[in-house]
Amino acid sequence: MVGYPQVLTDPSYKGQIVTFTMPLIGNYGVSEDQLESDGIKAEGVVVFEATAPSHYKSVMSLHEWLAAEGVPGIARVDTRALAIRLREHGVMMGALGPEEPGELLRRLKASPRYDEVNYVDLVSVKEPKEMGEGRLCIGVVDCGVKRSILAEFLKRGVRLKVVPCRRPELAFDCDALFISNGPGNPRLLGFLAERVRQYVEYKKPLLGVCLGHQVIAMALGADVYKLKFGHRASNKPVRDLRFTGKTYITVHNHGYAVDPKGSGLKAWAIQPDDGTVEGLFHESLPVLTTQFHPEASPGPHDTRWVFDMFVKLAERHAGR
Amino acid sequence: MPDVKKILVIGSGAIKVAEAAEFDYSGSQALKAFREEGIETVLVNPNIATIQTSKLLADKVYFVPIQRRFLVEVIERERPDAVACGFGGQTALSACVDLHDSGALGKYGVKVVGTPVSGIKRALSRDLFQKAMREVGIPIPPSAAAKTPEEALETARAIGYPVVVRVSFNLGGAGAFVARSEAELKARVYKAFAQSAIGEVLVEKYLEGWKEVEFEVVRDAYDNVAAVVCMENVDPMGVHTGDSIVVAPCLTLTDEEYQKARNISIGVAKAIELVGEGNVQVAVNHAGPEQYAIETNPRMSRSSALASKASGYPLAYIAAKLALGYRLDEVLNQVTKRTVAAFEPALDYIVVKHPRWEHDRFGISEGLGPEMMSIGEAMGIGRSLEEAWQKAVRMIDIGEPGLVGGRMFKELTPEEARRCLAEYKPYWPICVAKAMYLGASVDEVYSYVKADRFFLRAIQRVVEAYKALERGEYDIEELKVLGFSDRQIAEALGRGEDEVRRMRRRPAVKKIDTLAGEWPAETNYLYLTYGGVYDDEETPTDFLVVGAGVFRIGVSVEFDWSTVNLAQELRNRGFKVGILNYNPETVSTDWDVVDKLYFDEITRERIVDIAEKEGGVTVVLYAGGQIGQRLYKELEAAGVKIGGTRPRSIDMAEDRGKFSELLEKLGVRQPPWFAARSIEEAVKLAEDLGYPVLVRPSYVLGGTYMAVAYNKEELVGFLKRAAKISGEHPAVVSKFMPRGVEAEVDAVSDGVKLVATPIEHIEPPGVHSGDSTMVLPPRRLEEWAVKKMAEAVHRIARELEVKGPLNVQFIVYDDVYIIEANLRVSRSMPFVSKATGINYMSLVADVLVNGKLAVDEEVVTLRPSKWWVKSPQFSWSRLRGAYPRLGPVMYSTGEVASNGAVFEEALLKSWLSATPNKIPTRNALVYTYDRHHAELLAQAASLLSTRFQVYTPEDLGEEAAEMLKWRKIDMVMTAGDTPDRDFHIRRTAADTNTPLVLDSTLALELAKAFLWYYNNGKLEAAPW
Repeated sequence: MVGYPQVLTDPSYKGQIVTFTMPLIGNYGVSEDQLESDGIKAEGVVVFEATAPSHYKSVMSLHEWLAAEGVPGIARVDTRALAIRLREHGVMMGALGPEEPGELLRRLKASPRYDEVNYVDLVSVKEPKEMGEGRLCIGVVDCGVKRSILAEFLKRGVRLKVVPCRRPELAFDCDALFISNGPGNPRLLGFLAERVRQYVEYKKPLLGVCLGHQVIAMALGADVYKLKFGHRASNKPVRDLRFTGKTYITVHNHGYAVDPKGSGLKAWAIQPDDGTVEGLFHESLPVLTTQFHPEASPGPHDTRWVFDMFVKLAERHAGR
Repeated sequence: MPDVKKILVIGSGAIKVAEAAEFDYSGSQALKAFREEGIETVLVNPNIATIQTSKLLADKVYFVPIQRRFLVEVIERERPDAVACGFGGQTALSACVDLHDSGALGKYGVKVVGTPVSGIKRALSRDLFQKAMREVGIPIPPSAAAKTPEEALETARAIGYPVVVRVSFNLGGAGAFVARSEAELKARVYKAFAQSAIGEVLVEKYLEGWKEVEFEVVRDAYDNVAAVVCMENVDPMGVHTGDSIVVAPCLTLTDEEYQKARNISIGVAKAIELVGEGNVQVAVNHAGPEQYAIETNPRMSRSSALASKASGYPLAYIAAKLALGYRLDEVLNQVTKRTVAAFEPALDYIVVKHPRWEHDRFGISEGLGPEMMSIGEAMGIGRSLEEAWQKAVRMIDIGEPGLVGGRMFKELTPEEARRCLAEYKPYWPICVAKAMYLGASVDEVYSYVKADRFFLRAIQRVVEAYKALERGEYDIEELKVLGFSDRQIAEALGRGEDEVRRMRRRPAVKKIDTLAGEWPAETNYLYLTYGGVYDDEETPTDFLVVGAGVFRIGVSVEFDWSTVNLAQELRNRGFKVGILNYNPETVSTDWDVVDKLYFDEITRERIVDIAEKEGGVTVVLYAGGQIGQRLYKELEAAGVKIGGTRPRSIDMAEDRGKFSELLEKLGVRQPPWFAARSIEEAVKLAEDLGYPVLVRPSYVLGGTYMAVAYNKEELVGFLKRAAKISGEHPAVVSKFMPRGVEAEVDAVSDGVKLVATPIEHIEPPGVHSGDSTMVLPPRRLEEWAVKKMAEAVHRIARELEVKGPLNVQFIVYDDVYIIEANLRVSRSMPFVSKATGINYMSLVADVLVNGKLAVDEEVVTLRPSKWWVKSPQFSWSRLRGAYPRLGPVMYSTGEVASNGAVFEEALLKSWLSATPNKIPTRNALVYTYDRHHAELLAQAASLLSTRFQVYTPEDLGEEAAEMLKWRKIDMVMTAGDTPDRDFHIRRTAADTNTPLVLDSTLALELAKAFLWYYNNGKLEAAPW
């Protein structure tokens, strides 16, 4: 219900129109520290009401921000009815604009299908870059990584080598590798899965979040399937079956899920409502993944310990 | 799974300011949750009007005072292996701690389920709380505990003014206040000490203008935790949450702020070892990143009831399961029935909770502050803030049709509006609206009212829309989205409500499903809104029972009992039943008790909307008390199908003139009366009637709705002071019979037959029936009178073809006189139902479904086999500045009842069940300045003086107030309405929680009962 600046700037939303069911969006405006990337990544915004902000940090309103970035938005939509429709029929292609519905539909049909576009190329870094200082190096394969994920690593005193999604091997020399979140259909990332499979042979620590989780699973031979009801909220429980035995409130944004059968991967985290796998570990390799977002942002911080655990794992492997 | 076989659940006792029906709701949910596990439940709660005190919910019910000696006796008898402390408010929690500390729980091997006593103490003692917070590194406002007034002054000097003073071990913030200077602190600190059970206050930095948010936290014994709902006070820090306008979800926090506050809340829950449910209040700086933990309640609270209704997450039910040892992810979400309770609801709507105050009635002039004084609350649900807010304003039923356009809005002068804001008066949003209407900017308003500009702007938008509407420029869809009612629009346009209805579309019916539509949910929890166009589909119901709306003086949990019981009785007969109500505290707004819950306004507009959606639903208006009575005519005219008694009959009983004609026709007497259109006319006709007279103006200034006049001077004085009298606003003057016995009959009729229970009052006529002590069966009334009363009621019921409940009030003097008849449920029906064992709502359901009562005789008169007494509960100690008194205006906030083999036992157990009543063992102050009461009080004094010292204020002089302050007086008995003489004494007694008896007849009955008790009378804790 809060966190629209983070959501709209999350590169995972590239290529998507975002509908908010919370009817008032824009209440606290927007400020730089709330952004998850260099700008709005969502293609369009649907709200019931775009409100005028009231907050000491706000530099502009939602409306002004969308206008400044050239992102269309629409208000006074029955977003609950829309959410129920999306739930019942699944996520679907959509269009918004001032044109007649017939014209919008025509243009929509002429557009490429979301599932067929490789969005990660649009949001990934073009050239490798280094961030932070520390003895431990973690390679970040940027398929659209959120700033808050980088921040979680940097907070823990590690050096990051951020590399383009297409060239993960540039970071294979680091002590550990992280495959980031990102937009689009994971099945289009066969090239990345192939590289990850090669990396796994080094037996060095590997972490994946969201899209990264799915890519790692595919790399190790697991299946990815479409969920009947996608998980898209910051209020979902995840039960940790292995490390703490506790249930956490976590942030989800995924329409696909992993079936780890035959991959050597096992679930350490599940979603108790539908049993969806929400985190994987490998029986013999230092591989850890989360389908949910441990960095949160927006959402509860309850699972940020996943970063602690991974950094410790990497340190142990690196002998530091 | 749980190893508990029998559990003791402690209730919250009578409804008082800060402890209302929310504990009926939480207790009922807990009983349900325990029962599902096959655990035997024992409930102690003398609040007979509650729904939880039902044999269907608890295996055993005890109507006894919530005091250690009675609780120990219950434990001895029942031998429960566990006790649940968190479902009866502060009353139950304190009683639990007391039972624990006295060793009683240990002695009988009773374990506390849920949060352990050590955690409860850490949450309740400011000192322990702060220590715990410092240990785990949770920031708290600079403050220190003080054990003496001197220490408090010193601390305040060190922290710097302004400071807020809070009382340790209290409830609802009693005794708390803001002091801006040493003088202000000195003036009020003694009262704060008097209200703390452990003689401790906390002096704290006053965080002026900060936001206050609250998280409801659920946590299991394995440290799984969820911060279920975030609620934000519209009022800034310093105003008690119970007196604040509250929104959910939190609207003005960024994600960073939200998560920080959530983390603090979860940290607090862990620090107090919470198991179950609790709330945590967090102060959030409006201009910087700082946040502080303010306080926590390790139990179900008013806020948790609100949060349950705001989110659809049944906190009490879940808390009960967690207390038994279940994991949070083992318990199912009761709304979706498909997802687990370990989640945090997503809201796709806005709720606004608005308090209702009764400052005029109590003569209170103070503004809002850290002490709760509101009497009731309502919750508006909408998809825009303005829609939810305007709904909430209508729901509190103060006559305003929304934030703008009502009588208060129109009559406020610029100066009055400014003063209202400067002094931060109840209903300040209307003053804000008026100020803005007159041209004030958001920033100007903010200089007085430190509510976030986000909220002030919402009011501004409503005002702007209203001004445009007045100019005739409007967009009907936009007005409806902003929450304007048809009537509000119609009045501004000078058109009819129906015309506006035809101009607009229908609202959409939306579900509250806890997951914002993301997952399918089998919920039946609904509201109507213009923030959407598509209905969430639903199946139609047969009956729609209309609830009681906002609680106020005179309308409380008893009407919720009738609403819920009638709905359930109808369901038991195989019908689909919905409830319409909007009070978040209540059981009736628990979606679990009906087939369908409409959480929405009780107005003609909304009921017609619902009736249109539902098709042929039968609307039942007489179960919720007076609120439904107003709607009969309008709804009939709108073609809505109304169940039970016909609108014409309701009108006959409500209209004084028509009712008098009816009584004359039936040969039933009534005290003679007339309507006067001027003071002169009143004086002239009163001479003919003979004094004393009872005066009831139709246009009241201030809070005195009625008064007794013994002579011309009193009559003229009252009419000049308290009323506007004219042809348009006549005053009704009737013959007053102070020496009679007041009585009433609760009955159900099918138009032919009648089931009736006669009730006798202890207090004489002139004391409002709601403030009277009721006795069953009649004790002083003779057989002829009881018979004649029943006959009179029967005649009325037949003549008006009453098909449902009715209550008729009488004065029995030389003959039986009718004061009034109400063709609806009454306050006393739960009492009568439980005492006689005949559920009146079952009878009403028979009439609604079959058209007739299943009885053989024409008139069945019920009499319980034991003595039953029902006593009023007053909240004088909370209502700062009010003069404690009795009279024709009702002042009590709740009621309690008990029974006994002898009358004295029933009277004492009932009276003791109301706080702060205790049997006196030493000094009493017995006096009056009203000659009408002198004789009876003298008798009471002489009886009591056989046991201990009895004083008058004159005996003690200045010493009287001092002795009260130091709690050296066990009881004050007085009567009459003489604030000029004894305001200070009565007020000090109230402030120090000294038992106060305010009527001479009751004083004498109590004195006799005390003597009976001193002479080895036994007060037994016997089950119902």
